[in-house]
Amino acid sequence: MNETLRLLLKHKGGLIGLCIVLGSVITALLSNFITPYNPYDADLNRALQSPSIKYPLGTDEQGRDILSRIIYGSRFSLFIAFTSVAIGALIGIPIGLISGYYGGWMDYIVQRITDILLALPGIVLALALVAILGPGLMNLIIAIGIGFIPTYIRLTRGVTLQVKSMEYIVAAKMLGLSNFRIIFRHILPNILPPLTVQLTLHIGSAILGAAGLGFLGLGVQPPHPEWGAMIGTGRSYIFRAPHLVLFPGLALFLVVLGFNLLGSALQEILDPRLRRG
Amino acid sequence: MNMGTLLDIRNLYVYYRTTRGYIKAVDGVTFKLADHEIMSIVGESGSGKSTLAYALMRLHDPSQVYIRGKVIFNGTDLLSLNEEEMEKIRGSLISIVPQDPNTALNPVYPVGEQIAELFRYKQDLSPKEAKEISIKLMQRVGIPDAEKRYYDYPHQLSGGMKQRIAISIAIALKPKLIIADEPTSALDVTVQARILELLLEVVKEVGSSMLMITHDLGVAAEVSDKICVMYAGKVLEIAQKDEILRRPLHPYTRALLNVVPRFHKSEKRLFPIPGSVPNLLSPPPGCRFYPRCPYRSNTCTKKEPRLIEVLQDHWVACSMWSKLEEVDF
Repeated sequence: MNETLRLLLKHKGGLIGLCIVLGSVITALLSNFITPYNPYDADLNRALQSPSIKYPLGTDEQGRDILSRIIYGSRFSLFIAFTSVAIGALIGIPIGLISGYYGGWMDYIVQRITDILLALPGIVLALALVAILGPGLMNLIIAIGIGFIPTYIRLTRGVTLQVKSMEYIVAAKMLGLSNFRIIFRHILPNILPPLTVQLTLHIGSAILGAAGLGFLGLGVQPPHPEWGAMIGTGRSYIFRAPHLVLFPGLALFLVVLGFNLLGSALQEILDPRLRRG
Repeated sequence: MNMGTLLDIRNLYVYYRTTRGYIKAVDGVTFKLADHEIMSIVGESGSGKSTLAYALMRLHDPSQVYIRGKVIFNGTDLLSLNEEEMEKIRGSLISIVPQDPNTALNPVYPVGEQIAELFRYKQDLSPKEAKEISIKLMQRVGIPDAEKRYYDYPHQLSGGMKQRIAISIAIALKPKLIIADEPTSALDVTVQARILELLLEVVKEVGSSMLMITHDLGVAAEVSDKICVMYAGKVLEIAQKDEILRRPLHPYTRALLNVVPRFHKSEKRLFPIPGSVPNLLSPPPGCRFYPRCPYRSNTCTKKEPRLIEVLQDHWVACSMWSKLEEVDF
């Protein structure tokens, strides 16, 4: 792992991505302390002000400080992203492992269900789930998380098939270790690299997905300063006060870019075939 | 040597299912292995010797492989056990020394932990005890600086060292039977002899029996009490090592011995065996060695020769064996 970190710090894109990711995580953790104003504090007298020294990113239609709202909003984006990816991974990876390891008719059924789920675009699936479950933070997380499950199943199964036929797994079997132990102690650690890459990339798409649903009014509900919701409510003022949409959009862009840069850097580093000299 | 029978294989058939039909990889193999006995199974690639080893460990996927026969080990028929019972036997009573130690150790765990895992998991020892025993075992198989090497990952060790680790894993739980699947063929020629010597030493120390699977008659001659010659899924000849080397009664064994360079007969040239191993999807009728056999006669294609005890403890599957006995080897 130290080797990975060393290579990551030497990798330009990876380093930038890592900085953005760490920066946004720290921002989210400290958001209670570093917002210049209360992000919920409305005052119509200062509504729709352009960026100034007092309000560096301007104010929104209710006079709330946009910088504070963006800082505070990072908590929503990152929390939704991490928990939904965790849900997808914690359900998808074990299913993929078991499906790939045992094979047979169970594998066949699991893979056909995965095919069906993969055929649906993630955002459509999430939309449908939110429509069923109703809006709200928990439901949003579940809806996005479920969308990730088939990808984890497919990816995990693929790499499990690869590792399963390795001689050291056959050797573990010859030593009389139980299947459970072989799956989780011997196969899982060997397939972590591709899974790590996928986890990182999924965080980016989870943030985007959450923002998309927020924009449509199906995600985090106003007055909470979720970035997508901010863009959604700000879009009515896009000609009079474009900063309402611009700055949350930039924040979204930057954080997703960070995770994607980190993800593809990890992919290059962890897959020796893509490693550049 | 009046010892009990540890392994009694009776009419074992292992066929691989393919879309073109059954590949008869092991086709009616019968032999016995006594306690503390070391037997080599010698054959070309494709003779079914590795398939046999896999079948003993029940490692084949039953949906792809058809297995029939009896494998009586220590009084129980392994083929009748369920997976859970088999799991208890693997590693504890039967273990394997792998062919290629470079791929047989898990790359993400330190080698010491891979030894210790057996003690912890199969014998419920505490982590501390397991580590102590593992380090002792590593010292026993000749790994210098074992306390430090315990934490080394497989890629930090040489091939010979890795095979020493693999051997220590195989003997860890003092199994009754050790199957060595060409344990030296992936190693440097310079370390082969030492690894073989070590393997023999520790197997005797533990008191196990061993099945040595090899294509190298030299290796077989060095380590074994008995030699079993396999060809195209069949056993052609079994006898004590000295007997089979001095008086091979099957043309194939004879041919094999002729391709091994021997120093005391320096005038003799090597005679390669013409042709190649038959296609096991549709093996030739009668004797499978017929197409390549220098002693063949018309009867050979008509009737498949059975393995019979032609001399005391010397089994041969050849209808021409008596002719060979007359011809000096």
